[in-house]
Amino acid sequence: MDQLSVGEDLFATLTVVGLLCLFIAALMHSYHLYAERMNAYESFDQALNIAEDIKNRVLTASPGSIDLTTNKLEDYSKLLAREGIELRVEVRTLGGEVLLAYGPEQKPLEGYFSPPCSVSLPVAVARDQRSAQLCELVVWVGK
Amino acid sequence: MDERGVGYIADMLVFALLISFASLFLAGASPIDPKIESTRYAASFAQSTLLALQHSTADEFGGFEYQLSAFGFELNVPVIWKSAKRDLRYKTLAQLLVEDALLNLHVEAGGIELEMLRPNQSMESRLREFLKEVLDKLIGGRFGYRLTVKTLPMELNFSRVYFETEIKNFDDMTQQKLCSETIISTLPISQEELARLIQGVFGISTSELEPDIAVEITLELWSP
Repeated sequence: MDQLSVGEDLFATLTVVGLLCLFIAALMHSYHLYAERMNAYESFDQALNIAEDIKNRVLTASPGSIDLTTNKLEDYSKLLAREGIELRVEVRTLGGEVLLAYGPEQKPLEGYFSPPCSVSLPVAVARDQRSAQLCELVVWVGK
Repeated sequence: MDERGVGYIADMLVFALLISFASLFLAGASPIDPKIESTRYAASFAQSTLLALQHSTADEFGGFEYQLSAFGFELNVPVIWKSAKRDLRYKTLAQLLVEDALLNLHVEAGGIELEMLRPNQSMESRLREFLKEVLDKLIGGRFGYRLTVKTLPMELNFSRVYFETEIKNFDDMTQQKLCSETIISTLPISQEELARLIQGVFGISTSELEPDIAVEITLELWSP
């Protein structure tokens, strides 16, 4: 039976364990990146569906223009909350002035595995029967 | 070092190599084709932009006006300056495009474009500049864009009457087209009025005129 040589075999074992740990950490990080990307695609898809829904159904005043009323948005937000989706909606002018803000502010660095995702679409906000203001609808979706 | 120790290290190095390959594969792998997502977003963005153009007035962007011209010169004579000015700030951007198409129809005979007296000629270039500013604010930075406005050509007695204009923010055709969305509008005058206009201005008989002359407004979005 071979004798254990403390100096050399222990060094070899530590090197091997160290290397193994390093590579397993790299593998986990890669998996995290993959899962994050997958999650980002799903969140973006969901955010786009919600933004289209808000533009075409929830806030719509006439085909192609929206109204800045929050009561319908409240109901819609409650429906999403039941499915565990947190919603924030902003309507901004092209100059950056916020005309409507609804829902808790989303922090982009919040949530390691599912950071909030946002989508923006151009919309016309009805002012009176004849004119509408060109704005941007921004929808954040978080979980 | 013991031979067994060397053997362990060699085994582990092979194992580490396998893990590295797996990590690289995962890091490079994409769960969903990103092109599909960007195309879907671009299509939704283009539809929303076209709808917004139908509702927003020129007033939103500081108004739109131009001078009537004669033989290519703007009528800047003090006496008639005011009456030669057309202020169209109350019109929507889509209405302006359709009106431009109506007032600046081109006539081609035997493949050669005929120069006609068009008092609203300056509207075409002014509107292109005006809309470019609007579209740069709305789309620029996110996508490359090309907005084309055209009528279906009317073939009348060996001549062809049409309108076509284009506004874009890129020249590099190596960019990738993401989507193309179109809205169709009709000219805001009756068929009889259009027939009189074409006959009066261009001297072409218009018995075969289509019942509705459609104006196609197409917005293409390209990868930035």
